[in-house]
Amino acid sequence: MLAYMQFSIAQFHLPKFGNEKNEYEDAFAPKRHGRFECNSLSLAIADGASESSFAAEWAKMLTRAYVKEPFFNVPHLQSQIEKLADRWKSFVQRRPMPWFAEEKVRMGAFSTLLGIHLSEDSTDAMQTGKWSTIAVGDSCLFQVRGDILTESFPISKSSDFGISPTLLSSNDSKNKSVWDQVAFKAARWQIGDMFFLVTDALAFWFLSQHEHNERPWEILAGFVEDNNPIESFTTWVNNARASSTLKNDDVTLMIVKL
Amino acid sequence: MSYQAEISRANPSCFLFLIDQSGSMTDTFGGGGGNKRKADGVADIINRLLQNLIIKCAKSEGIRDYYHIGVIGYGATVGSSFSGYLAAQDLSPISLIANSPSRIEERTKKVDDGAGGLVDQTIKFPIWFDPVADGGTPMCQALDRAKSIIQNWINGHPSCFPPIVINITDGEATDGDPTEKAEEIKRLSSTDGNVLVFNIHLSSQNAIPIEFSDKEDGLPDQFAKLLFRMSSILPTHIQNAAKQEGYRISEATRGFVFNADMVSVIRFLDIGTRPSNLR
Repeated sequence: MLAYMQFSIAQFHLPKFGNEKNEYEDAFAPKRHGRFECNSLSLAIADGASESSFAAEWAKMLTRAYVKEPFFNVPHLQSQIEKLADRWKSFVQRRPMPWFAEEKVRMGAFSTLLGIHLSEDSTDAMQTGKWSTIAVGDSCLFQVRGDILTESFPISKSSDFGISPTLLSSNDSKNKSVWDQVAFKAARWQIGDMFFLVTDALAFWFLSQHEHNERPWEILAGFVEDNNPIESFTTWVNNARASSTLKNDDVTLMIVKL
Repeated sequence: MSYQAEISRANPSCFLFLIDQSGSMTDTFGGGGGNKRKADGVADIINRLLQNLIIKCAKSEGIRDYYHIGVIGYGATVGSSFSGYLAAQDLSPISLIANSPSRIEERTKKVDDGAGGLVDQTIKFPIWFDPVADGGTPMCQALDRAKSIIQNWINGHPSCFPPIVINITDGEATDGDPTEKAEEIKRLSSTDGNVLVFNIHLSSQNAIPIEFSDKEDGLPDQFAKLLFRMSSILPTHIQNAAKQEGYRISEATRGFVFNADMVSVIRFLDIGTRPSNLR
């Protein structure tokens, strides 16, 4: 009988305080959550830039494309972005627009992308495996093993969050400066590891906490075990925003436990 | 810390533009070269500032009212430069202004083709204001009017990001020294900091355009020096954003430009994530 890698996935997301649910401009894929078995897994989150329009659609397209066929190098990413940008354009240009919408669409939508692909080793009964990740912008991946943060990618210090990240654009002429800033990393996982995919506000909080010798992953992983995970997460985020420990921004969190 | 308030639809901020429409604006201005009159320059700049502000607030579903906007013209008279129903209000939500240009022109601009070359692109350029040049330069009166409008706005929005007043002029006031009037506006404040007064100087002097300056020395004439002194120091986050774009900025840099358009200031306003590759 074939043995597969076993894992659980959970997702949490919330729009910026003051915005409607349909104004949430992050994205994540896949949408399924719970416990699964298979020989590989791809996950992605994206943070559509609020200064661009139709950013939510662009972020969604990026995450879905990654999950369908992970990007492992820049040429592959470039060719996919070209196709996705065409698709985005036909999506937004379906109907006539006022002058300002036309100009904004011309500028393109912008988004981060963070994707991770996990696969199992065929030799050791699902105990270990490999992962590889791609990042554009300031969405982050954290790997936690036991009590230790073993990986923080692509940003490892809270002070490294800038005000103006370089992002993937649906206007391909804006991507020239992006290609040499795409970050890749590959490493290994073992059973019991946890991965956290988070957008910038939560990533900044996570790293700040860790810099103060806290274990922020315990709070986040705790939501999965809660009787009302979504409600607990929402209350926690709103309280953290109110006390200014969390920046008011769209928040997205995906947790994978192996 | 000042200038930290989030600009949102629930807590909007405001822009008040003061535009010099006096007779002296028929003179040509130096920065643009050729025969462009200062009045043409003013109209071009105010239309472009409004266009950029509106595009900044445009989202998939329409315009988000992050700002309320007023435009006061000063020349033969002092009052709103808008026509129709916008003229009846001192400040209007930016979505109303977006939907009410007097006409939309098409202009051609060169854009990056993504492969190292440039291509012509036709863009929509809305026009709210045409050039006007008539009468004296009652800048003091315009600043008095601005003070009262801004005070009313702050009364209704006490915790807003501080309003920004942008004065576009050749600096030759005919109703006295405007320095103290500008100071009175700068002393107004919300809980987030003092009101900002910026100046755009259109001059006949054929001197090199200056985008933001941190000292009076070296400015081409006494009007430039006066307008520089009247201008607020740029808040730290605007200074940082400008530095990131390669401007030479110090802690003393003020919101003053000479024969330039100040459109960059709109880029530096923080209403959400702005990608570095969106210019």
